[in-house]
Amino acid sequence: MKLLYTVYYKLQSRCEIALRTKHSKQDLYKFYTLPDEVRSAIFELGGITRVFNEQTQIFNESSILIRNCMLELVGYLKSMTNFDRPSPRFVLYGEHGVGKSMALVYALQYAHENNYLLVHIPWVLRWFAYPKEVSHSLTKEGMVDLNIDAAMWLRHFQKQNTKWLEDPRLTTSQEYVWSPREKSEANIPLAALIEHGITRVKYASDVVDVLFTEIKKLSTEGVCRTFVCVDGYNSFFAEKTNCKPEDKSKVLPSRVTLTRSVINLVQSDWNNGAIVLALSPRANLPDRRESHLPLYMLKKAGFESIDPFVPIHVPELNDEEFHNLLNLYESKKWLQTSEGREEIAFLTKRVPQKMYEFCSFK
Amino acid sequence: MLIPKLVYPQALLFTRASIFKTAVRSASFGPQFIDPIFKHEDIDRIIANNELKNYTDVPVKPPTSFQTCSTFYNPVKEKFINYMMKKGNKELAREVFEYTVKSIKRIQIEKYNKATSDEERESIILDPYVIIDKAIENTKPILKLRSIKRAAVTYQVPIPISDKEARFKCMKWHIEIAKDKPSEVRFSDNLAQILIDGADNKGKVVKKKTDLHRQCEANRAYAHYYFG
Amino acid sequence: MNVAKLLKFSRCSPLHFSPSYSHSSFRLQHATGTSSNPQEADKFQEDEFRVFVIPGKNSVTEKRQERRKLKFKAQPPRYLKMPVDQDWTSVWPGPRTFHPAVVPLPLRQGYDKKRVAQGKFGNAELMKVPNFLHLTPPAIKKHCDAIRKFCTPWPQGLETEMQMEKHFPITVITSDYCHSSPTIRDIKARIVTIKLKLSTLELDDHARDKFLRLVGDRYNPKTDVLTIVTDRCPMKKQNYDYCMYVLTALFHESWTFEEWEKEKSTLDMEYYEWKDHPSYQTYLKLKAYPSQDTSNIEQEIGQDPLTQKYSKAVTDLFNQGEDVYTLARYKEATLELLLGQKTS
Repeated sequence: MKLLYTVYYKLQSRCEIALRTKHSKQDLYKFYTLPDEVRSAIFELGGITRVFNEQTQIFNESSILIRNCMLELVGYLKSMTNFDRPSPRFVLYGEHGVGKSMALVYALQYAHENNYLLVHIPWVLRWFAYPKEVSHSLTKEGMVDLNIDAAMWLRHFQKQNTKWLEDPRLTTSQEYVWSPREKSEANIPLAALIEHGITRVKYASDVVDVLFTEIKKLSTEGVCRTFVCVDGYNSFFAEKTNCKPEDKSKVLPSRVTLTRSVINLVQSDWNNGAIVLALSPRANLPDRRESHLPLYMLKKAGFESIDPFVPIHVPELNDEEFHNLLNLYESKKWLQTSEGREEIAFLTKRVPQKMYEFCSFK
Repeated sequence: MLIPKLVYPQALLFTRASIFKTAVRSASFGPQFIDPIFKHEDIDRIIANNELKNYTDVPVKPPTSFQTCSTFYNPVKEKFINYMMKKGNKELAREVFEYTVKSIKRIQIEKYNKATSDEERESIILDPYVIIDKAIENTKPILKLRSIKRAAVTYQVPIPISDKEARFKCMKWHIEIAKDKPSEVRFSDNLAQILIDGADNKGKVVKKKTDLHRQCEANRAYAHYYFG
Repeated sequence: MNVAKLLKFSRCSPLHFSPSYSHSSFRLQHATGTSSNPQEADKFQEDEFRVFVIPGKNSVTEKRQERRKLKFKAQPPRYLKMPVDQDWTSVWPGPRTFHPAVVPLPLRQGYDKKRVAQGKFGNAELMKVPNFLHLTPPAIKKHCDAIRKFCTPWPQGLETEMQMEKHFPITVITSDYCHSSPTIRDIKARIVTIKLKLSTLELDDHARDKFLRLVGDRYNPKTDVLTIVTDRCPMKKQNYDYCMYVLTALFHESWTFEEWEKEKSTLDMEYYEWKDHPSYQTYLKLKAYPSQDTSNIEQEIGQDPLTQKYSKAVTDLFNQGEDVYTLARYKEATLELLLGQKTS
């Protein structure tokens, strides 16, 4: 085992190619740097995990490890030639801390580079566990709105798709009446619709719903190619939320308008796009985290909402990835010794997040 | 039969492997019991020097749960955690210490990344345990004061202090001073900064040590009271 | 004094027949006054006046001690003299509390957290537990030989277990009790247990499902055994009749089809049938895309190998459970379906 360490130590573990489309099998298990401009363009208002954010601040750069699952996912996206078929769904699953969100970051970068329209929901549980404001929906009977969260998400969407929103072809198809006094006419640019949702927070959830239907239509017409990305999709099928409306009634995720909007978005009734979802044990309630497998996390209802999908497993690091990551930590002075790698592998089970946290105490 | 004295190699200062003897005579084990030898290097060294026969009939204390053969075992760390522990809540104490270590690393790496010249970079210590060792070395008092009563007057007499006690005192000072903080600041961050200052030979703990030494110097006339 | 000579003389004493009770060495020590260490014996002889000891003629104190020992002298235990091929049934003819000197086995019984389990001598635990030393195979053989003339032959056609199960599928288990107290009776005697293998009953799919739902925990799927325990009546016979009644009722009830059973929904189903679930509808819609009309498509895709592959993958995922293999098959099927990528 000691001999292996020295071999990996000397391997060149950096990968300088910044563009996603040009990664190949030769670049596997190496690191590449996420350029700051790309990061601020796509991820300023969400998408980067707290742990990776911390790592970036300490190391002064965003180094992402290129893994099999990322290349596999992007490989599928590249191989899609027939965009008349309904948008395929890809589901990333794996244990907590193993790199699913990082794989989503990679996929989003690819999509951004290839001029997809990005519909990215960073972490669904934030809506249900820490809702900013819960109100009863004005348009949908019995449903509950999370308007401030919806408005914040609209801002995130706006920031991610600045180029697309300047395109004059992106317009609404029909008139929308928000209230007896307020309405949006047909054929207004989507940017205006979004602006309306952000300023008139009262209608933000409805705007999100309308936005999704419009995006699906525009994709099907061939105006834009859409990339839908949801992290923590299984939160939509949890047994409870922390949302507490004024009448203190129980709110299940199915009662929230945003849930319905997103599930509609993810259906197979539109084409010219791709959907990538990530399931996380942390997105479930604490008593339903025994398994990280998709059917267990989604339950039957969740499974049926996205069936058929391509399940992509995000495993723990293999030998080479493990050593490369520790080599990176050593080069950044985060880890002070080369000894004890067997111990780290044993105690952290080679889960990247656990390795980061473990090495921070050594 | 002679009980063999474990002779540790002369530990270099400021390295990770600064071992010091933790022989504490507790009530369950008498003086004939030797400390457990749980590190692979120690065992290998004993075998290599053919000293194994010295240990055949010697009673050995059982190791505690925290004396492991892990590569990351550090007796200074264990002591620090024990001094930080309250009501036996070792988990919390260990967590806090680990966050302190992380804080030290973050502060030092930030300095390192901002450094402009190679000399500056070399002077920055990045290993948190080296910083802790250095801070302890710099803040260890040499004497302590004891209240001795002579003819209805209590004098503060400077007396010698054992190495063990000196180490305890300086670690305790660090913890006490770190606790004295505004509520927004985290204990671990505060302690990290204090340790870094200590390693640089400045800060509140060093001040406390020098204050103590100054008092001892001032009271040196009474030093002979120690001897009865 | 020559220690060896003294030893030789002491062997002539009448007290030496039991090796475990030899105290000749003790006497010798007593005579010399010290241990058998010759150096120490010499030392003694140098310091004090040498006592002339006539072997065989004891002092008064020694006699008293010997007499005390004579009183407690015991015969060696009987098991030491037992031949290996003895007739055990005559040694231990009937039930008897354990006697260590009679039983020739090196038994140990009892728990001591610091020591080894206690041996058989003076062992209360061995005496407390019931022993079956009177029921060894030769003893039972003797019993059987004695009773044989009163028995009828074992019925023909019931030689093997399978035949016995085929002709007598139901096992009835009851217990009888007898007390040596003012009442000889025990209320537990009324309990009747019936065991039956479900494969002996003729049940179709619906009947089996209903039967198992009615019966619940009483059925063990691993051994296929149904166990019914009754104690609701005061007499054993009544309980047995009740058991039989319950079995009959269960059987006939599971064959009847009630009106409300039509309300069984997909959520109640104990297995996953692809066509009854939304997965089938989404599949049709996918295949029919972009048209929303799925009515024409159903017949077209029925024979498609992809449909069979996909439906099998989804069904297995639910019925067999989710694991690496079922997920891999599902992935293969969906890759082909969504992206047209064929792996095999």
